[in-house]
Amino acid sequence: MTEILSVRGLSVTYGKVQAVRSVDLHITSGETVAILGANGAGKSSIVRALTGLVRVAGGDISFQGQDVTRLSSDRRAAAGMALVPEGRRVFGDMTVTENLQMGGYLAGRAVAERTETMFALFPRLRERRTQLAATLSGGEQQMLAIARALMRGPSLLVLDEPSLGLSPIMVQTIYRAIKDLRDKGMTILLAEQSASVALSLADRAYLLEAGSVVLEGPARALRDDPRVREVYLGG
Amino acid sequence: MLPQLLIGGLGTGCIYALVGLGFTLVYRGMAMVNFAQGQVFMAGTFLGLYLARDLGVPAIPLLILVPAISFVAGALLEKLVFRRLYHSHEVFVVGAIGLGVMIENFVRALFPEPLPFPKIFGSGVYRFIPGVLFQKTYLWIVVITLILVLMLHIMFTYTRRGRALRAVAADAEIAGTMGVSVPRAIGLTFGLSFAVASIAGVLIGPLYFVSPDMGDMVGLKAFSAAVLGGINSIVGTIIGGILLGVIEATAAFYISTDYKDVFAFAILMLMLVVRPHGLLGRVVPVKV
Ligand SMILES: Nc1ncnc2c1ncn2[C@@H]1O[C@H](COP(=O)(O)OP(=O)(O)OP(=O)(O)O)[C@@H](O)[C@H]1O
Ligand SMILES: [Mg+2]
Repeated sequence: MTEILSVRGLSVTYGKVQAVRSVDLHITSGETVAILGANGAGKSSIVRALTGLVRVAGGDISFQGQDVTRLSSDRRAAAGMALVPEGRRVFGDMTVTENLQMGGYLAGRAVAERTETMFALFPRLRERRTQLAATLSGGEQQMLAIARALMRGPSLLVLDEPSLGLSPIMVQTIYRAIKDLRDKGMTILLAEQSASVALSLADRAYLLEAGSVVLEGPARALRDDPRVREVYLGG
Repeated sequence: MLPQLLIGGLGTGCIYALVGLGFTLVYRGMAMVNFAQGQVFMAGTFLGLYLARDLGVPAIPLLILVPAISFVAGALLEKLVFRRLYHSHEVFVVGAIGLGVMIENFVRALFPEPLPFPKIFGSGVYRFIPGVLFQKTYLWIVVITLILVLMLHIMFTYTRRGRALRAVAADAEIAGTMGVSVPRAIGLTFGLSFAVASIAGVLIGPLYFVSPDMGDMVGLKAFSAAVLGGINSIVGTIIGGILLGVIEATAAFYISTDYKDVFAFAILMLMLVVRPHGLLGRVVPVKV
């Protein structure tokens, strides 16, 4: 098992606010890893630091053996990272197909074939392929955001709260798709507030509190930990 | 008389539309207004003047060469100047105005006197309709504007790079995570905005004596036209530009040439009171 992502001493600050405090984190190829934590624990800040959307205040990030700490987000995408951002952020003025084409910006000739793969993964998107993304329901937008991220064939898929604001049924649909990806061998980093769903699918997890990792281990072990149970109930 | 007015109005309207497109491209991409656009247009005229008069470049190569040079100048200025001004809209506007003044004075140092522009499109007239004269230059203006708008439309709708520019305009951060180099996209956007405005400069040249302050009023009007149409809409800007051109020509004829600007702006303000976001504009949430 090769290590695909290795983060050491990661800190993120916004002005005087320290959102992430010296976090260590690693993911091996094929693993699904969850980052859990309540509102404001720093999950998104870690995700943003990993994908190059916020400058790190300290520490380093190595991705597939390459130091990417100072690389811009587009270079990290080229290196094989893909992000499903918090709040989905699909391109509302573009059709479903155009969103997928944007996701495949780096995919070259594979775009047409991968678009078909995505439509097979989310048949709902095929029916709505000429519809503007802004007019999709929240769940459909989430499907689109995931499909868009998969378009370039990433080696690491980072998802930030894919269950946010969705109905329980839709959460199930989305998570079934993520589980599918996991079973096909995709390496996944999943930031979630809703620990129950995340732990049902993750191999390992980190629990964040006020920017620090307070607990880490196999998902099964975390499921039974009282500190995690507290987060379930809180979330 | 009315058809004749419409032709004239359509011609100037296309010019406002093209310079206005320069505003729109940058605004969509950056949510910033580049007030040097009018001077870019004027610099295009003088670049065209130099190439046509002193080097004898004919019309079609001129319409390729001038925008190509302007494109490079725009991308370069973005890298050297504009890129440092994005942190605040006020700073950006002041920087752009300053740049406009500098461009104007630079051109004035080279060409102090108003000059005739070579008749690169020929000086004849067409009579498609009896009694209505269609100057060749106006025909070129309309045709080239149509071609440009079509090219931009095709680029933004059907090409990978065009889509990437739209994506950056909509959400630069997310476009970056798809692998789009945002700085490159913004450089490209500025390059394009300079290129379209400079083409307008070449197109209008043969109609007037050209002088370094010719961009001031055109810049203001083009900006107004863009706002009238909806500054984040390409189609809106074209419609706004043509509408303004036609209103102005009509006012000049029926009221007075001296007061045509007042009249044009009065109508503009009235329309904006009725439709504050422009004809095709949408309310855009303020970008952080
Ligand atoms: N742009 C910013 N400027 C200032 N403070 C910020 C910014 N973004 C996040 N923070 C602060 O950093 C801390 C961590 O925020 P972050 O978004 O990483 O949390 P999160 O775990 O993703 O929370 P949520 O579950 O609500 O998405 C919070 O205290 C937040 O207020
Ligand atoms: Mg978050």
